[in-house]
Amino acid sequence: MSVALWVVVPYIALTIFVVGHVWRWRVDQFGWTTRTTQVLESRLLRLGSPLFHLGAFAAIGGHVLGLLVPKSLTEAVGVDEHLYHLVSVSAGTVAGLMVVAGLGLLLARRLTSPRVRRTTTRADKVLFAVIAATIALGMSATVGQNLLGGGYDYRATIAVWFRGVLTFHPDPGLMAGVPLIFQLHALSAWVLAAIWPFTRLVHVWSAPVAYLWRPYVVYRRRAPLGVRR
Amino acid sequence: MNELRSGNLRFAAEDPGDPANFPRVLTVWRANLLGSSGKGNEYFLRHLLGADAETRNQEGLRPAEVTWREEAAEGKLDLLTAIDFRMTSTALFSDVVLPAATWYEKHDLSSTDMHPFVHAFNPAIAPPWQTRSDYDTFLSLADRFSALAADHLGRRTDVLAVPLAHDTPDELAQPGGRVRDWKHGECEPVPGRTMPRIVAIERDYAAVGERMRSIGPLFAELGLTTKAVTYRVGPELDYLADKNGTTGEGRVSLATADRMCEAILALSGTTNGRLSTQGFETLEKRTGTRLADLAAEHEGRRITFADTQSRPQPVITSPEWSGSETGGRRYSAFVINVERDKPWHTLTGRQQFFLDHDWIIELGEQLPAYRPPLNMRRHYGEQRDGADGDGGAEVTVRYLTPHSKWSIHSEYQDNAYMLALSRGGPTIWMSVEDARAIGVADNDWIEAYNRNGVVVARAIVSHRMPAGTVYMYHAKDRNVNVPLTERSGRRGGVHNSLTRLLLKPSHLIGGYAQFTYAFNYYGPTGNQRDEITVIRRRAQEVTY
Amino acid sequence: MRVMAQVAMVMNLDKCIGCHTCSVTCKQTWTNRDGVEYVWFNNVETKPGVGYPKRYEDQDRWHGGWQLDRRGRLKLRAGGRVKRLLNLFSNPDLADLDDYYEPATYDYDTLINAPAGPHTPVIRPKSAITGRDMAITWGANWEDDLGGAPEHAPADPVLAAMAEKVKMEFDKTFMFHLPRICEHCLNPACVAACPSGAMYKREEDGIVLVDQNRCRGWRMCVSSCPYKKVYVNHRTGKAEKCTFCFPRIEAGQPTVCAETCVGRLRYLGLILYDADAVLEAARVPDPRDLLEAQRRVFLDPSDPEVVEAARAAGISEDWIAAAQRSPIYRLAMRYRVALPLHPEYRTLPMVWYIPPLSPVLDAVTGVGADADDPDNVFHAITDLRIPLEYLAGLFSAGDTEVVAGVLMKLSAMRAYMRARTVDGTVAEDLLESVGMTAAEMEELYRLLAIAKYDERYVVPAAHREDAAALSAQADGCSLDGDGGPGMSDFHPAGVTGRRTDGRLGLKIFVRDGGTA
Repeated sequence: MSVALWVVVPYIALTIFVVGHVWRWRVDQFGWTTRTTQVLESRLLRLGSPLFHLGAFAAIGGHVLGLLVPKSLTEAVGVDEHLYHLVSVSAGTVAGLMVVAGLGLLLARRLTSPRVRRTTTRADKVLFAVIAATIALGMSATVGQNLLGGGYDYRATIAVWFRGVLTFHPDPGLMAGVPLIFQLHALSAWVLAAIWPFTRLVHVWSAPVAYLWRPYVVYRRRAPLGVRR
Repeated sequence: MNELRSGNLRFAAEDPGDPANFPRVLTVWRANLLGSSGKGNEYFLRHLLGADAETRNQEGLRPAEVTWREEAAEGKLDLLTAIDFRMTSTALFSDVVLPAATWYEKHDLSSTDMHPFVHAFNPAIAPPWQTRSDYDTFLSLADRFSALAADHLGRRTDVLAVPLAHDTPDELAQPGGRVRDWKHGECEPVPGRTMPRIVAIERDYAAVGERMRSIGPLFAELGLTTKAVTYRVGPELDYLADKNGTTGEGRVSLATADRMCEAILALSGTTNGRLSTQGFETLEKRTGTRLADLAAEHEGRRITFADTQSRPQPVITSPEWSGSETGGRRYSAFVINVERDKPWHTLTGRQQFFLDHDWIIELGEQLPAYRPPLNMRRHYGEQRDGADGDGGAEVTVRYLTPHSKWSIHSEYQDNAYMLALSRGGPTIWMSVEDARAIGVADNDWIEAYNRNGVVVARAIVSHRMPAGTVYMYHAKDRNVNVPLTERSGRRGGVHNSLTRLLLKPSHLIGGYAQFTYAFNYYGPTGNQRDEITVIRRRAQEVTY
Repeated sequence: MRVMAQVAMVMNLDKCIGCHTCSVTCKQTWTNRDGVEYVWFNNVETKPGVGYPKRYEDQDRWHGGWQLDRRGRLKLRAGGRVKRLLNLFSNPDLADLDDYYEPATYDYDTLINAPAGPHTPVIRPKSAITGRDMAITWGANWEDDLGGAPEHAPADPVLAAMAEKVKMEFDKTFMFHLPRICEHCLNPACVAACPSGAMYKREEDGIVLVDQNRCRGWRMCVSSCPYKKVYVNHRTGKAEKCTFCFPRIEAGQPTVCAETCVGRLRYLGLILYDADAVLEAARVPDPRDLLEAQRRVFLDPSDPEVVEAARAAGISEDWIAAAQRSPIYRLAMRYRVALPLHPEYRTLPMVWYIPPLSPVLDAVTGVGADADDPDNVFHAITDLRIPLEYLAGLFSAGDTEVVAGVLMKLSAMRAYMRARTVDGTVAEDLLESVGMTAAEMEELYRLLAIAKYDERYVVPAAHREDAAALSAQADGCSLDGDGGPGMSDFHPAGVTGRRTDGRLGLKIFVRDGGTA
């Protein structure tokens, strides 16, 4: 059972994640878009979208720190467990609140604006459900365990397990004693990873960072010049 | 004649209220009589159809010689048929709707005197579902009618009162424009001079279908006459017999629309150089002025339907029209009259401003005269500006119905693009002053009414409109975005719900020079647009 | 000097009657689909009026186009690169659907299927977006023929900026129609604002396009265009715009809007331009100098040096010949009667306009009006119904001298041709006053008034001899499929299905919720 949940599920999800993205990139460039609906409703979006996105960046940043950076490294630079816990919980809660508020506004917008509702696809509905579940579970974990509760040192277990999966040295046993809420959050995240390539979330990979150094005006030729002679 | 003299037999026009004189069967095709063109729409609905209508007209005057019935007849028609591809008001009110093919689903010809080409319509697809071309529809109706008529009608002799005709010697029937009425003993009743011609026609009702499909014997016997020029068409009939084939009786076949098109092209001087030259030669003898050279460049040319299908064909100058396309000129009216001194079809043979008919003299219009709009308030008791029953302001304005840029009459105005580019439903243009007087802002719902009917529309307020006049463009039907009116609780009317036909007496002149009758239609003459209407702002909540 | 070619357009507003044929034919060709019901790549506005979308010309509000920073460098009015990325999540400058209009559709079937009832059946407007009943309160052409003008036209940014206020009175009424398409600018703000680089200007002919496969829906282009000619397709979530009918242009045919123009008022032709001079021209400090600056970017196709450089740049012989016959070059450069729309946006637009003449405001007592010769409006050019200041606000960044010069040339042409036709005389004084020869005047007349088809449209076909270009044709159209203008819909049975170009797709991409 342990192997099924903490080895099989992750690798299946990762495989779908990778293969799915390759397929989607090659086959559905036309559908690879944010599917913007600002023109249909802008009032709720004005607040909801930046809140959600910036909150999500912060939360993801926190996950990078908490999952991918080994404890040894943080301690080596002088951040002890307590300091880490303080920062991660406070920043994490703020980020989490932003995400929840943002997502709440975006969800409310999609439900209450008839214009926006009509552009919602099946993939959108599945995505909203999974992302809401993941975030809700994550918030419960952070607030329940680490803010209001005694605190759980996930860096000792979950983070190690996670890095093990990525480096093909998975140790399912690490997850055995993890609190249920974290386990559910992790599983929910794998589900999200698995559906990611088939939803509008692919727009994340198109974050236009290169715009910062691209010349303003872009030209294209229909055919290379040399062939013309 | 004795019956007429004694008064036993009267003209139907003397008692339109007698059920024996009602029109009974009306077929509307390629037209939207009840949603667009019929002036006095509500009168059509009440008296012709017997449907709900909004007229509140109380006529005070009574005619002296026409029988007046206090209860005006309602619902005169027994059968209204519409042949159309749109569900217009006419179709909605019809007893029977026959689905029609559209322009790209049939053979037909198109032309206009305003440009020098003849065009073909060609079917890009066959008429879909149960639609049929007009031609086939009428042939089907004719066949069914003929089958039933064999039992019910058989052969009959029909006696017609035929009007004195323009471009015939009938024009000299009343010299000096002196009008004498034989009914009052001012003269003898002489058909073709002081009264219509009495013509007996043999009808073979069972043969209607067959006759529709063929050219009868009279073309060969009498030729074709247009504007007093008679064309002998023997060679054309021979050609058509070959081209179209013949019926069992050896007549030229018109069994299909393209055969009809072929026949029209062969028998018209505008598309048959031999006939136009012949016509001009006939005219040369009559007028003594050189004309035949106008068609000479095309004398050997005959435009066939296949020619028109390959590309629009430039027409040949021909006596049916007064313009000249010779040498590639473009149409302009009366060129032949001006440049070749061909007499004008008037009493004097020239353009004339002075008219001397008795009735015109009585109206004081021997020379062109300015006539102000009819004083509708005085004549018909229409109200002045003021307030309505609830104290809301009302304003009384001139009501005009110019042609729309979003439609050809009511065609296309219901198309989604036209609705998107105009304001998506009926509107009335009004001036800033009039809008202010009744508290109306741009796009507010308003109601316009008069004794003829009531309209509900949205206002377009513009400083382009002169104070005291409103426009409701011709035409929008009542089937797109027309709510129920406050005034009646029923569906608002069309723009012609506020109008009615007003016959100007001088338009009834016949039998005298250029006033003699010719078949056409009674169009929107100036006095039709002397109408006024009362406008008020209504509740902005509308129900449909 | 880097010589490039662009197909450009001129519209003669003297002849536009506002029939909107161009709008309807363009819409029927390109935007008669879900997602772009409210979109008109070609629209026709009545001026004065707020236009479509409302008040799009107010760049203080919408931040479209370019401006110069304190150091005289060009920057997008909406901000630099960093600001653009920060605004990615909610674009503060993006117009709402209600600034355009909520598109309506009608339930035509009701007329045929309505049950018997006390009232004649009627079809009602329903939102094409939500399917619900709606009241019609604005539209794509609300102000047509000055409908609603007293209420709305004062908000016309050009009108509002005039020093001499316009009073909307019956006997001072003025109006004209302004058909607009994408300007396919030399310095396009939309391309500059596109974060993903999906928008591009074509090297061969200057047409600006959105790559539907690369657009990621950041919708920065939509707000950056000062003419508001890039639109959001709310179904696909991508940007779409006027394509200058490039498939037709490549075949040597005019654009649909031009081909179908009833008034024969549009012109198409090549302009050879110096791509290296574009930025410098856009950067001239005084907006009133932008017109001449842009004219300096245009190259004389008869100049042997230009021809040499064009050849070296790979422009083929027939294109060079077409540039030499170009009606755009003649109207914009030789006769100088065509002017750019809102040059102050600094995008160097390539669809220019000939401003309309209008009647003398008060023929009887107007200053200098010549009662004997109605065509002699020279002294009354400042008294025409359409205020010079208004036209200058549209076409010359406020420089009334420029517009007056064009109008004088046009009215001189009329007077000259009247004298020639009616009296058979040659009005030398008129020619002198506008600095034209008789031959030039008559050529201008032939071009503007007679406007023969093959003199209006001088469009050389694209060259197809490249194998690469041929293979590009085989990839099919990226717009086939749900939301695109391709011929067939994507209706797979089951979970997967084949798109029209053979690619496999999953059904989850199909929008749920039925059709509008």
